[in-house]
Parts: sequence; C-alpha cells; structure tokens
Amino acid sequence: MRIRPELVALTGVVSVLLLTSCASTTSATPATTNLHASWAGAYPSVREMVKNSDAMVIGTVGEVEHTTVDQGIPYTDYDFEVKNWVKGTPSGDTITVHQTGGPLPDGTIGVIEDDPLLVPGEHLVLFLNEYAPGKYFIAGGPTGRMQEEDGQVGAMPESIATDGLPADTDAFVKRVKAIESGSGK
Amino acid sequence: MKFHHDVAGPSESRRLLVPLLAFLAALFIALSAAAPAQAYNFTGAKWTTVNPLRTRLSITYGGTNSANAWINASSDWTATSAPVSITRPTTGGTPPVTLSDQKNSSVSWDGLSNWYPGSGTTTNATGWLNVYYTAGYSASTRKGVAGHELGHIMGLAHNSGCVLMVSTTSTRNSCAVYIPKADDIAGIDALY
Repeated sequence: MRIRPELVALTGVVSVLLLTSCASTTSATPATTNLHASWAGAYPSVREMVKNSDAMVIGTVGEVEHTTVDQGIPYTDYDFEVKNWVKGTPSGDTITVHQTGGPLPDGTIGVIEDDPLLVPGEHLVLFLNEYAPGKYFIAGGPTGRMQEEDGQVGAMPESIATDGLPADTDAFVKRVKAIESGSGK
Repeated sequence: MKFHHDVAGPSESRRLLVPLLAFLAALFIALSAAAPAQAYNFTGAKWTTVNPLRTRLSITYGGTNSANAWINASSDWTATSAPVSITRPTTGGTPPVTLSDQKNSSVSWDGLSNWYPGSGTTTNATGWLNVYYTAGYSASTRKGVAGHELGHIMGLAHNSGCVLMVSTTSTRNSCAVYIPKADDIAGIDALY
C-alpha cells in the first residue's frame, strides 16, 4: 500500500496545530480552589531572608495538626521536625508551621497558586517568622522555603530569590551563620 | 516469492518536498503563535465581562483605609484604556465580587483573592487586604495591593518586573507601581 505524501503532510500539520493548541490551554484542576496572594516582603537574597526572619531551620514536614477556615480562607498547621536550628532561638524539636491553604467547606482544597501546600515527609530549609510561641509561618511564602535533598538545596520554582543561593546545604548553613555573625555578605 | 519494493526516484523526491515545506511552514506558524511576546499571565479564569464588574465592600478591620484602597484601586482600573468598569451598585441584587479585609499576623501575605470556579467563567470572587500589614502602608501602597488583587479577580496571574501584577508589595514599592501599567492593561485587553 502506498501512502500519499500529501496525506502525511496534512496529518502532520493537523497534529502540530492540535498539540500547540493543547499546550496553551490551562489544565483543569477541579479539586482545587486557587488563591492568589500579594506577598508583603521580597527577599531576593540570603541576606534579605536572614534579615527578615526570626528563624532558619532544616527538617522534615510531619503530620497535619489541624485545618481551619476563617472568613472563607483555609489554613493548615503542620508539625515540622527540626533537625538543625541554624538561626534563632530553638523552641523545640517539633514546631508548628502555619500555611494558608487547606480544605474548604465545598470539598475543594484551597491552595495559593505559587505556594503549594507542604507535603508530609518532604525535607525543607525554612526561613520562619514566629507569630506565637512555637508557632511559625514561612517568610515570603515560596521564597522562604527551599527543598533539601541529599545535601543539596533547591529554591521553589516560584521563589523570587535570584541572588545565587548556595546549592550545597552545608554552604547554605555557613552563609547564614556568617551573615548572622556579621562576617558574611 | 518475489518482493517488490517502491523506491522514491528524483521525481518522487520533488513530490515529497512540497508537502514537507508546507509542514515546516505550518510548524513555524504554530510555534510562533504558541510563544506570545507579551509578559502578562492569566489565571485560567475570567468573567463574561468586566464592563461592568459589580462589587461590594465588606470591611471589618481597616475602616476607611481599607475601603478607600479598594475604591481607589477600582477607579484606577476603570480609568485605564482596558474595557473595565468596576462599580459598587446599590441596586440589582448582591454583587458577585466582595472586597473585604482581615487582620492576620500569622501569614506573610498582605492581599489575597479567590474566585469560583477556579477556571473557566468566573461567577463570584472575594478579595482581602490583610490589615496586619496594610495598616502600616501608605495609601498608595495599600491601593497597589488592592489593585493587584483586582487584577487577579479579573483573570491576571503574577508577572515579573515593574508591573502591578508583580507578586510582592516591596517590589511594587521599589518600582513606585501603584496603578495598572501598560502590561497589566494589555493583559486585560487580551482577556476581554
């Protein structure tokens, strides 16, 4: 059987147009209610993050403590198991990290679009602000939160921290401690 | 058993060349269309129209500071060349957009918004100012936060640079951006 070249070309053109049209369409997320935030602070560098946070810790996200909805806005409190308290006064091996987002009465999950909910078990480097004893929120939303894996630190895709964050966890810790002591830049 | 193979000769090659060039031209056009030059981003949700966009105030914590921020930000959007008119009607039923405030010291956002449904045609929405932060802001900065949230409610997502839809208030302040800029307006123009 001979395949007509015109037919091959036509099929290719249609395929390309369909693929590019699909790529430019936002994927549906029916179980999620999107929230969009304006973040009060911009912390483009480690120095700015150190300066504008009460604590910097490395650890693991634990279980969800509880969820609430206040005036239509969902919140989730997570246990966070601290392995290394790099900056600030330690307030315990397990602290509470409070995040905007969580279950809503209509059955959907409210999530700030550029600040996905924490996932129990994930290892993180967090810059935190304390709003009550032992209770913290992440400074600058996605910017104050970095994933830590095998000794490497990676910024969130939505982070505005663009000022050469150290990729190595030990180097990151040294930088923070140096800034704290006044000898780092 | 005899096998017969069709082998393309020179004339057959020329026949293949024309559709191949047509395919490559279509690919170029499609990829160009898929990579827009503009910087604005969309949330994936929009109203049938924002001319008018009917809103109501529900202020609990910030008094006239919060109210004026929403009112003035609405006026700023309405004054642009985009097809937007943000109103606060007193008749015609409950407006679908609620402009509100909270006082919350346990978060790092100073403004927040959501809408239903999350994608497609929006039917209702709420915007909040966080008075914990905005109480200490200048009137211009507060208005910038309110205008940013109105941009989200209308369908604009975060963007970078000195535009109203940049994600952080400190960046808006350092750029002195408190009203919709050309790229923000172009985004609404493209949506509506």
